[in-house]
Amino acid sequence: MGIGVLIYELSIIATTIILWLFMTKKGYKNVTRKFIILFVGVILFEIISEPMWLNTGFDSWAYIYGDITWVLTLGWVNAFMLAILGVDYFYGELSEKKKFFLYLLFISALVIPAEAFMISLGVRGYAEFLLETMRSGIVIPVLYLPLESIYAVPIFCALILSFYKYINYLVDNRK
Amino acid sequence: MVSYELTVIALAVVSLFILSIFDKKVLRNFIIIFVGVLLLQYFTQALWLTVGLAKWSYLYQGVNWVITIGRTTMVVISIALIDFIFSKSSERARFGLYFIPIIITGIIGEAISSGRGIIQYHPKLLESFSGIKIIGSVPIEAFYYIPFFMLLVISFARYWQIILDNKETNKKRRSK
Repeated sequence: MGIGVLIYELSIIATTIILWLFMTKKGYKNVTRKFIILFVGVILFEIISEPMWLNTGFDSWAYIYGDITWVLTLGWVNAFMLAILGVDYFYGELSEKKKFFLYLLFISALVIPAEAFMISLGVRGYAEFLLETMRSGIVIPVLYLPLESIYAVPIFCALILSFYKYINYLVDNRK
Repeated sequence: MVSYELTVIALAVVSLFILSIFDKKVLRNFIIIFVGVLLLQYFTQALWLTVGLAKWSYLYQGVNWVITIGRTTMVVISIALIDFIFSKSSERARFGLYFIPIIITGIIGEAISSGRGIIQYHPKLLESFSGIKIIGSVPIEAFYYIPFFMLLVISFARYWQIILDNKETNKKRRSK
C-alpha cells in the first residue's frame, strides 16, 4: 500500500499546483486567497466531524491532527475548485442560485467516485458509530458506498461552498 | 420533559415577534438559518445524542427540530443584537462580532441542555476531547466547536440572504 498511497498523495498535491498555475495564467483574480478560503472551509468541517472518519495509511507527514490530513483536505479543495471552474465556464450566464445547485452536482460527481476509490485503497473508512446511523443497509453497486454517504456529500458541500462564497464576498466588499 | 420543548418554541415565537417589528425579513432569515443548522445537525448526528424529548419533535433518528429551533433562535438574536448595536460597522466587522454573543448563548444553551441530559456527547467525541469541563458538563472544546459550527451556518445563511435580496432587487428593477 505504501507506494500506492505516496503516488496518491503526490498526485493530489500536483493537481493543486496545476490548478493554481492554470488559474493564475488564465488571469483569475486572488487565486491564492480563494484556495486558502476553500482550504479553511474544508478543514473546519473536518475538525468538527473528525471522530466520524478514519483516514488511515497516509504518510506521517500528511497528518495535522488526529485523523485529519492536509493532503486529503487539498483533495477536497481540488474537487471544489474544479467544480466551481467548470460551472462558471459552462454555465456562467446562469443566476447564482441555479449555479449553486450545479456546483453541488459537479462536486458530488467528483467526490463520490474519489471516496469510493479511497475506500478501496484502504485509506478511508467510517467509524463504527457512524455506520450504526446508516440504517438503510443499501450499498451502491460498483462504488460499494453506503447510500447515506452519497446524499451526505451535497449536504456538507452546501455548507463549505457557502462559506467559500460568503468569505470571498466579505473580503471583496470591505465596506 | 415537554416543558423544555414548549419553552424553546415559545422563546422562538416571542423573539420572532419582537424582531419582526424592526426587521421585516426576520422570518425568512430564521428559515434560512434553520436550514443551515439542520444540515449541520443532520451531518454530525452521530456525534450527539438527543434523548428524552417528545416523539413529535424528532425528524430523523437523533435529529430534533426543537433543538434546531433553539440554536436558530440563538443565532437570530445574536445577529440582530450585533446589527443593532454596531449598525455603522462594516459587514466584515459585524461578522466577527456575531461570534461573541453566539459563544456566550451557545455555551449557556449547551449547559442547560446537557445538564438536563437532553444533549449527550458520543463517547467517541468525548475521547477526542481533553476532559476539561467549563459549565456543568460542557467540554472546554465548546469554545472552538461552537464558533466553527456557526461559521459554516452563518456563512450559509448570509450567502443565501444575499442571493435572495439580489433576486428581490432585480425583480423590483424589472417591474419599474
